Amino acid sequence: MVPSHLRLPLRFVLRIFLHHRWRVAATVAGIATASLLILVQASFFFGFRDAVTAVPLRAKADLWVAASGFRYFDLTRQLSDRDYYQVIRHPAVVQATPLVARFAEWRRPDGGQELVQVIGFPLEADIDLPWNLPDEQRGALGLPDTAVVDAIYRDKLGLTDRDLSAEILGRRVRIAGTTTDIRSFSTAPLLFTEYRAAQSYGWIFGDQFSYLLVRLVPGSDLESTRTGLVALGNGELDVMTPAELADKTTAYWMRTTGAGLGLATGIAVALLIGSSIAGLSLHTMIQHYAEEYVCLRVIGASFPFVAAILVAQALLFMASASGIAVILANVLSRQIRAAGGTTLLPGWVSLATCAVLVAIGVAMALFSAHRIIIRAEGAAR
Amino acid sequence: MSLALACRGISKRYAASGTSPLTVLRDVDLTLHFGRLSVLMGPSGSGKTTLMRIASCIAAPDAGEVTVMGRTVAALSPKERARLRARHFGFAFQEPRLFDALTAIENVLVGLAISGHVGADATRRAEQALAMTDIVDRATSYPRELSGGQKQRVALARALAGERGILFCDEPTASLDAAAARDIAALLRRLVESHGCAALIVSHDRRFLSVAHEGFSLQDGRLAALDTEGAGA
Repeated sequence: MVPSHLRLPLRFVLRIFLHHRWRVAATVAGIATASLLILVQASFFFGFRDAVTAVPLRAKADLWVAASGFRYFDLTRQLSDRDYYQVIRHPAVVQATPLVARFAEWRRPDGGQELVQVIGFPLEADIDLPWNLPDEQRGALGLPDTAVVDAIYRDKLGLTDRDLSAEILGRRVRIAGTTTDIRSFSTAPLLFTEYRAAQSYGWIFGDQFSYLLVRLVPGSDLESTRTGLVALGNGELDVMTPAELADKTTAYWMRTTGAGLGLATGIAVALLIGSSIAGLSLHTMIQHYAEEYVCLRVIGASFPFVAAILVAQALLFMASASGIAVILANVLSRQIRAAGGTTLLPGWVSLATCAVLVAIGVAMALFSAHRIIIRAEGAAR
Repeated sequence: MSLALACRGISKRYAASGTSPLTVLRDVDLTLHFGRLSVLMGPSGSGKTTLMRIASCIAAPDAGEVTVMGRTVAALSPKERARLRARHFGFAFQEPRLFDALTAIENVLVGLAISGHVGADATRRAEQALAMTDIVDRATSYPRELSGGQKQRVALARALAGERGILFCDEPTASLDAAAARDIAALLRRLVESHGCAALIVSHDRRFLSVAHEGFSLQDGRLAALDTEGAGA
C-alpha cells in the first residue's frame, strides 16, 4: 500500500513516463548505456581476477606453502621433499599435499605448439582439483599419461574427437576428461594431471614441486601455525592463506602487467564516465520541467513534495535503466565467456552498480529539488 | 471590505557587481482587500515583480513589514511561508506553467494536493475551479490541446482551487492576443467579485485599469495611485 502523500508524486511520475515515451526512452537508453559501460568493464576486471586466482581459491587448503620470495601463483621457485618433511613435522598439520604448477610446451597433433600451465597433484589427495569435471570423468586421471583440460581450449590445443593425444617434452599426453568454465588469464590453458606426470611435463626433478597445500588439525590456531611453519623453514618458506596468495597474485598481475592495471583503470574510468552520463541524462529529464517545479514551489509546495516527485522520477529511471543494463551485461558477459573470454559478472557487482546508480539518481534529485527551492525563493532575496 | 494583506514601509535593494546597490523599492505601502481587484503598473525594471514577490511571501524585504490577514510574516521560516502560500495564495504567471503530461484537471489537482486536498474532495474542488474559469468542458484535455487563453484559464483555476483567498497574477495576459487578454481581464474581475478574494495583478496591460477596483503605478521605487474605471463598480 502506497502512503497517501506519495501517491500523487508516483502517479505524476508514471504519467511523465507514459506521456514522454520517446524522451523517456532516450533517457533510459542513455542511462542504460552508461550502466552497461560500467558493468562490462567490471565483468572484464572480475573475470581477470577470477582467472588469475582460480586455483588458489578453489583448491582445498588452510595454508599454502611456497618457496620464499613468492610473487605470484604462476611462477615460483620449487620446493623439495626436505620442505615437505619440515612442514609435516608441525603438530597442527594434518595433511600436506604437494602441487606442481609449471608452464610447458604442448605440441599439437598437427605439429603446432601452444603454452599450457600444468597443474599436477597426487590423485589420492582431497584438494578438490580440478573442479567442474563431470562425475563420470572423475577417474579420468587414473590412467597413465592422461590430463584434463577445459572444453573451450580443445581447438586451441588442436584436439579433435578422433585425436585427443599430443606431446609435452616428447612425452605422450592424452586428454581423458574436459571441464567447463575454467579460464586462464595468461592464455595458457590449465592442464590438470597426475603429480609425477606433471613433474615430467614441467621438467623438474622427482623430489621437486611448486607448493604444499596444508590442512590443519581442526581447532588449531592458524596464525601460530603459520609462524611455526615459517620458523621451521628457516626463512626459506613463505606461508599464506588462500586469500593472501590470491591477493598477491592479483596485485602482481595488476602492477607488473599493463593488462591488469588497464582493467582496473578501465573500471574506474567507466564508473566516472558512466555515472556522469547517467547523472546528466537524468538531469536533462528533470530540467524539462524545471520551470514547472519552480512554479510548484512558488504556489506553496514543500521541499519534501518537490523532492518526492524528483526522487520517484530518479528511482524509476535509474532502476529501469540499470535493470536493462544488468540483463544486457550478463548476456554479454556470458557470451564472451562462452567464447573463451575471461569475463565474469558476480551478482553482487550487478547489485552494487544498480545501487550506485540509484544513489546517484537520488542525490541528483535531491540536489535538483534544492536548486528549485533556491530558484523559486533565492533570486529576489 | 476587510483587509487581506498589507505591506508597510517596504524597501528593497539589489547588490550589483561593480556599481552601487540598486534600490528598487523605497518605503512602499500597499494594501489588498477581499473582493477587490488591484492592478500594479509601471515600466520594465521598476520593481513590480519584486513587490509582488515580497507581498506574496516568496522574497523578503530589506525593510518594512508584510502582514497576511493580520499575521506578520517576517518571523516565518521558508517552510512556514511555503505553507502560508499553499493555504491562502493563488498564483498565475505570464506562462501558465502547466505540466504537459497532465490533463487540465490533473494540473489543478496538483495545486490542490499542495494545499492538502486529495481524493474525491479534491476532484470536486478542481471541477468547481474549472467551472469558475469557464474551462470545465476541457478538463480532460492536455495543455498542448488548449489555446493560450484556455491554458491561462486552467492556470487561474489552479490558483483559485482550494479556496485560496488572495490571488497574485504576474503579467497574466502578456502572451495572449487582444481578445483572449480582454476575456482574461474580465474573468479576473468576475472571479474577484463572485469568489470574494483579493487579487493583485502586475501588468503592462492598461486594459486592467478598466476592470480594476484600484490601480497603482510604481516608478523610481515609489508607489502612486492610478485612476481606474472599475473603482466605482
